[in-house]
Amino acid sequence: MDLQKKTLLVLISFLILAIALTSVFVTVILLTNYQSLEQEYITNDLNHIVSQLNNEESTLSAIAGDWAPWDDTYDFVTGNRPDYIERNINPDSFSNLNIDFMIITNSKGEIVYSGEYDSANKTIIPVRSELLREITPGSLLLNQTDPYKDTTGILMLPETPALITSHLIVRTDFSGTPQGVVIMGSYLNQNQINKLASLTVPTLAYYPLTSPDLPSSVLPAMKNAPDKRIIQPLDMNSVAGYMLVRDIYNQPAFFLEITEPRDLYRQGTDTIFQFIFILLLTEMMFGFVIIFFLDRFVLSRIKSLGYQVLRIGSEGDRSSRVKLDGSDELSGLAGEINHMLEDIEKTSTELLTSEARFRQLADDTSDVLITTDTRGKVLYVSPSINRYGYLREEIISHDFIHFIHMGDRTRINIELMQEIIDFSSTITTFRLVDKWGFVHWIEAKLTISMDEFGKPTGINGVLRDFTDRKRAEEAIMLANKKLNLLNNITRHDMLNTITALLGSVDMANATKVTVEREELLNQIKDLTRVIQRQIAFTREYQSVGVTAPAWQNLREILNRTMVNFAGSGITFADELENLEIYADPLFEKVFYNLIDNAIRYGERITTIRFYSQISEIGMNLICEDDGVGIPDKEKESIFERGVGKNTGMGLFLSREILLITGITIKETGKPGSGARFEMLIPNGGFRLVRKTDDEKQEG
Amino acid sequence: MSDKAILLVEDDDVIAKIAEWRLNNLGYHVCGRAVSGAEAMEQVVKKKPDLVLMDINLKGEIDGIETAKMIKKGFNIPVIFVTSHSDGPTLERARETKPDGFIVKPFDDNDLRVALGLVLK
Repeated sequence: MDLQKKTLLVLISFLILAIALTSVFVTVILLTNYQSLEQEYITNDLNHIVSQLNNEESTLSAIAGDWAPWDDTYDFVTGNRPDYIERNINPDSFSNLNIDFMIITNSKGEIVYSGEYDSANKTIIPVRSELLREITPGSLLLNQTDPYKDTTGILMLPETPALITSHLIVRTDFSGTPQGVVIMGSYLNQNQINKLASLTVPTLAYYPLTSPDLPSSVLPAMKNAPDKRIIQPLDMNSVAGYMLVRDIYNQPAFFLEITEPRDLYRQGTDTIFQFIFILLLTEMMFGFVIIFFLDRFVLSRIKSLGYQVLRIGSEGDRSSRVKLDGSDELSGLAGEINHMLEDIEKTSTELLTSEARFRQLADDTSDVLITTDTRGKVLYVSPSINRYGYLREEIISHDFIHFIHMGDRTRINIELMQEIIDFSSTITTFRLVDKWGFVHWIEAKLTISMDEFGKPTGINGVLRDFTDRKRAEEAIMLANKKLNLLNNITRHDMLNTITALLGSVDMANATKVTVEREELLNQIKDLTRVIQRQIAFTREYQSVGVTAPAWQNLREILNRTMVNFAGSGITFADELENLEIYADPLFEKVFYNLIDNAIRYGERITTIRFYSQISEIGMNLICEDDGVGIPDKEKESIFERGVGKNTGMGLFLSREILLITGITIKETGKPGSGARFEMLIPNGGFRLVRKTDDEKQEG
Repeated sequence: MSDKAILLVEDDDVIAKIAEWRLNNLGYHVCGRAVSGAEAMEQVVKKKPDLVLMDINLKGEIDGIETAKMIKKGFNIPVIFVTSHSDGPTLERARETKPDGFIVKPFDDNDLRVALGLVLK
């Protein structure tokens, strides 16, 4: 994820989180406050109802307070004003006083008057019996002693509560012995309740203590605090407040319930939603503004900078530079990057020059340079590997061990493992098999390569071909061995000859017979010539192996040899390819001996032909003539020392010369049809020579 | 003239002829000549010589050293080697057979007289 997307994601996440937290916080706090405020309002309304009720009680008490301390009333209850009822109490009195009933008792507690107003019919009717049952001796309404005080409050009747007041009847000036009480009141029916409610709250109701319509949560809530105001939301649109009203005995009478619409709460929630909406809108705008400017001034520029650096890196064009408008820190960073690119360009140029120089060295060197990983897989090999017939692509990514001679693989593997374990370098030798199966002797200097942490990463090797040196060493060793052997043989032969020679001299001296002496003298002469040939042979043979073998061009050797036989009249057929063979420098003598023998003993010879045949095991170099050939029984013995019609050393010496570099010779011609000498040159001991430019033009 | 019979084992005709001439001059009797090991064994059985004059280098499958070893072991006849090898592995091999004498080529009458005289005295 790029920086732009990451910043956008972080910012959006932050805004969402901020909005969510703010919303939750505001919702919880404000709603709680609104609920508290709502409760406060409901409580006030409940208190207001109580106040209204108290006002009603006060009004009622004031009315009764006018009637009770009045001389007419006093006289009536004492029996001195019988027309009191007729003159003072009628239906209009009830209506004007706004009361529902009036009861007057004497000092004995006997009801002397009672009446109830039937507002529907506007008549006075008897007071309902359940009220009268409350007017009994011992009732709080009757048991009063202070004419200045009254008993006013709620009296709970079976069907409806009543607002009631009781005042002692005394003289108008509050003198005289109290003569009973005046009781007035009104029933708190629903109409009366509605009348109270219309002044303050939309809905007012009362519930008897045992009413099933009362919400179940109200009673438990009031259990420990009976005078507490209970506020309970009914739903999202209305809330109810509950209050316990006590009667004149201070006992629970009924519950008052007010129900109001939740205007305040709704307004609160609306306000919260508006607030959150505005907050969301503001934060979104804020976020967009931040993202826009952040993207424009920072992110898009960093991205552009990154793309430019990436492009320069991928295209490898180290002359390119980054470009960023402005003059702020990012522009400064672009400038620093350009400085760094300049340094990299300079360093790269130097590195490329250096690498080209070293690569040229690696390409031009005759040694093979090779780099492998720790498993031996080739990572690099110099072009000089081509001399072994391999393309570099055929070597790279392959295990180098596969190109090593089977007989050396185990040892080389062990040496390489040991080198990696010991962190050492080593010089070793092994045989490398080229693409044509030829074996080359390689001296390898192997050095372990390591990374910056010192961990082995592979092996660097310099492979030097010392096959020619190896062959020369082997050839010289073989030549020395042969020379020693031949020295012994020659010395033995010469001592034998000398023994015979001295004996012959003694015998010649001792004999008196002239003929015998002449024979012995001739024998001495022959023996002396034998010694001469033996000495001559040692002079030739001592050259074998003295000089190291070398690559020699067959055509050039043949041409030089044929010069010696230019006047022989023999036709030489040179059918040789442009080949070089690895042989003792005396190889020319082999050609000379073969041609010399062919001319000496071929009798009818006219043509000597030279050609080659390549097979799996090597190349056969063939010298063939059209003379009398060699009898089958002599095909082997002609190569032995001393066998032959001349010195007996020519073919023996030729075989010894060839064997120095592992070349074998045999005669395979058909007797009577000509001699045919086959020289088998093993693989690795011959090679084709590229044509020179002149030869190409001629060809 | 000594009556000792000498068997001459030599594959070179000229040297054999000269050796026989020298032995005759010294008074020894050359009872026979062989050119190979097998022929030498045959001659030993047939002629029972008093001494064998053995060339180390013989043609054939067995050389003079092997032949001498068999003669000494089978017939207890003294053997004197005649060789042109004055040292080296061949001479060492010859010594291991505990020969009765060595005559190094080229030899003359005196060499033969001393060597044979020591063995046949």
